[in-house]
Amino acid sequence: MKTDNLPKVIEILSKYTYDKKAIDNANLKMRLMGDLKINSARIVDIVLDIEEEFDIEMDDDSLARLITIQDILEVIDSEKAE
Amino acid sequence: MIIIGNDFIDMSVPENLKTFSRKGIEKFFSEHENIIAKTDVINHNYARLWAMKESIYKCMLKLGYKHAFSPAKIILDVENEIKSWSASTIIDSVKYFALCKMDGNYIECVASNSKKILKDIESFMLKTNISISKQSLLKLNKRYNMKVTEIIKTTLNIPLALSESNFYYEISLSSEESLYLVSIYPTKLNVLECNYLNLKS
Repeated sequence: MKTDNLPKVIEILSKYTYDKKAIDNANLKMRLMGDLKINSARIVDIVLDIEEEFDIEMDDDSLARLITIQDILEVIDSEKAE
Repeated sequence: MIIIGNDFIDMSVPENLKTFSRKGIEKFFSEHENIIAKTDVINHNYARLWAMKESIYKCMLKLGYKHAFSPAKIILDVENEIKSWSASTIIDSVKYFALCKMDGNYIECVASNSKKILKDIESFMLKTNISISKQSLLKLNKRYNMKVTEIIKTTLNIPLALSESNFYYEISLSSEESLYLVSIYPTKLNVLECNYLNLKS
């Protein structure tokens, strides 16, 4: 998995987390809701922002994989590879 | 096993208004849900549908579902009246039911795998910026004459209200900044029948 996209992903997540300290110390294993305290409604914004930023489209199965930051990077990689 | 889930969205929060009116919001909903949502934009129908799906998702987690929330996978059969909405769906052979009401700016929703207990679920708002557990214990015990001894969270972040030995209460929490919606089924249940207790961290 490439981590080139990590800075842009962190930038998007930082707009929607309550826990600014957590995002400053973010690592790939952090869970979006549990660790970064992201409200579930913000998943809409995160998914739409990522689609726009990386010019991809996430399907329902991709969304169901988005538990950690690493999952986001993997989904971006796999969607871009298609 | 009886399970409950809840969700709460405060539509006075500007981010929520923006989120649920974003271009592209349609992808999170089925064709039929989009038709319902677009008939009445003023009453925040997308947010109501979202809250029902999220409530059901919390129930699914309790029954062992291990994936992230993918709202389009939860296709609702909705009956909408002006104030209160109800919906049902079947996921992995389990039927779930949801009730959603709008009170001022607050969208409050509860869900369960048992239709008959839906109206017995008690919900109240809790304003706190300190430990949810301590506040909840006091409020819950006082309000429902219960003796909750501890609220724990499983590794999947599922709250569980433990009572005296071998008993628990079904509970669900939903937060929006410093505001919580606490929903509880105020009937003691046998902890031996609680399949998700072994997920305790």
